[in-house]
Amino acid sequence: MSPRAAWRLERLGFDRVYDYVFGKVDWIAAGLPTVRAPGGEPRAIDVADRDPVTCSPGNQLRDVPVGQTAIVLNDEGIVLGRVRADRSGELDRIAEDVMEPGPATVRANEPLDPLLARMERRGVAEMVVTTPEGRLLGVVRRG
Amino acid sequence: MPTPVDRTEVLRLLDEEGAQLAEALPRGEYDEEHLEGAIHLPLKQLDAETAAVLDRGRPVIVYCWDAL
Repeated sequence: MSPRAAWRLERLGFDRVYDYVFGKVDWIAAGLPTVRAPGGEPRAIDVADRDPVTCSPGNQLRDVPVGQTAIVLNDEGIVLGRVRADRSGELDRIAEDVMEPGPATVRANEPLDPLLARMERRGVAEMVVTTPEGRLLGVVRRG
Repeated sequence: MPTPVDRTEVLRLLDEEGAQLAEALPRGEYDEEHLEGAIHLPLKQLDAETAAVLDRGRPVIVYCWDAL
């Protein structure tokens, strides 16, 4: 539909017309701001911790704040892995060597209630939320 | 010819060139949820009169639900 609207605008004399091909679905999945009617179902991004502990692959664990799992990110903010909260025996190692690579992720618009139910069934305490490209947006924690 | 763009380019156009966002979907879908700052410009009512809400001096980014 948007390509036809874009062509129509050109026909009407607009000379700089762009078609955002992947549209609203892509925007919402990336956690970008929208205006929503009240009463919509809650989404993962609505309750996600937007500032979780993060580190680089080369960080020594002694330099990573304790108390939570740490999300391992590259320089582009892409999720590479996750390091568990209990790091006490590995403080001299670097994140890349001890991380769980490729943790499961969901998009920002993942419906929250079914997500929490799945996490409970599988005994998953937290879920990483990313953009479609894998860039960290936050972490949803159960309970 | 309209230029297809991805999200990165949309954000750049908004930030650097003052682009306008226009949703081409029907009223119900726009009311349910739309991109922050987007105006409603449904395809079925798109003519010179309804398009007059747009600023001709700025880029226009049109979107709908997805690529399908």
